[in-house]
Amino acid sequence: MPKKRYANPNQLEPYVNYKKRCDSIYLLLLDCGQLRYRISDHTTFRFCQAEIEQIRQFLLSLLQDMNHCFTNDQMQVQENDDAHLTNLEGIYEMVLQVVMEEPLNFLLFIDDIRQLSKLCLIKDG
Amino acid sequence: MVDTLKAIYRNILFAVLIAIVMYVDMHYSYARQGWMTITVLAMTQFTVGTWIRQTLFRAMTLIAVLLTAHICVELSQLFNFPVLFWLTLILGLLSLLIFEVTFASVAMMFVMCLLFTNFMPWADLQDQVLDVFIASAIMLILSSIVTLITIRKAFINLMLQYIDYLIVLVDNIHAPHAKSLSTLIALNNSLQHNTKWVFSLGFSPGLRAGFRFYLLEIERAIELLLNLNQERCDPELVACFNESMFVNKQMLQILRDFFRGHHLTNTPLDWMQDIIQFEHAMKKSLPNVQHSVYIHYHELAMIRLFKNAKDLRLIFLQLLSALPNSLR
Repeated sequence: MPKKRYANPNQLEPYVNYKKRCDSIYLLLLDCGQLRYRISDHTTFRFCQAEIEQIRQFLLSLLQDMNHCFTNDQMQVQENDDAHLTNLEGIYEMVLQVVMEEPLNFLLFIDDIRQLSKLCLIKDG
Repeated sequence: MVDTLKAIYRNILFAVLIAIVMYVDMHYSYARQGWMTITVLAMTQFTVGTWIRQTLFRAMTLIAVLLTAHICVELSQLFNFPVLFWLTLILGLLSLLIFEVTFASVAMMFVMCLLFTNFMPWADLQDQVLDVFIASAIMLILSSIVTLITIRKAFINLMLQYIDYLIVLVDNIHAPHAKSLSTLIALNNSLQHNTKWVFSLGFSPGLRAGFRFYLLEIERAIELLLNLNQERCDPELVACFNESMFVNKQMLQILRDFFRGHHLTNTPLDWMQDIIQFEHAMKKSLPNVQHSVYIHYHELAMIRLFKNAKDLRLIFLQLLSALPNSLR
């Protein structure tokens, strides 16, 4: 019987790390989605509609970059430009914290987005 | 054993159905060419849920294919050009081999229509179309009887799979290394794939609201359970959290018993006591957190854990209270 050949574990490590990271990103995205259930008055989203849209674009480009870098064996992604996130935090502190019934829910969302962008920007592949 | 018996029962039902339609085809059809039998053969692949839409869709496809076959045969005979017939027949056979199930079944219908029209040309197209319509109507009535039973069974099976998965998730919170995250996510995705028929267009409006309510609430419960993270939390809070998970498991077991058809007994009346205790413990650990401007990420993790646990409980309570002869 010929012996089965397995891949070298050291070669597989970046792929395993990448998969774990993708799983974590998936879970964080699920957690971000909880915002729509947690905020009862959806009109409050009008205060930060533009910022949320910018964050969506930012995350999309981050994920695309991450995918592109991995498929091309370049373990580097663009530098963090979290101006959109800072804007959202500013709106949260100035407006949403006063206007919303449950401001903590929005804070959880901001924390999720921050963790998400950090996770996308890790350079270990 | 049960599956084999079910398969035998399904096949017998199928044979009886074909026999009835063949009898009608022989004695009462217009074309007397077996078009009713062909229609029934094309439509017996029951899809759970959207049977009216699927039956109409297949009937329309069959008629379109029939018309195309007629045009091909007429053209080949008109111009005395039999190559056209053989060419379309070969193309039909090739597409039968190449394409996936949906297109292959259409290709099969086309080949059959082509052969029937070419070698048994004595009937009118009008009669053939009428036969297809009559067979479709018969199938619509018969499948409405059969599929209503199938929908109930399919939904119960789906719910049992989901509840078992939720119990695995709850157990996994106590022993995080029992199953890897990837396995759990993959399981969730495969389950989601099975629910397509509930969300597809044309599903029975009477059942739609209830089925979708259960599935959407369970989806949200899964999202919450996947995100429960006890790291960076006080031991006292973790104890409260474990207690709430224990109660959640009890609730899930009640749901599972209901869908298995067991009688429900000895259910506690107060399902929120542990969550209230959890909230007290939270307030003790993090006083004035609602009013503070800056919150540390360590505090945020605890708030997240509590909110997720509370939301989860509310979902399970909604699921339990929506049961018929509910536990309210």
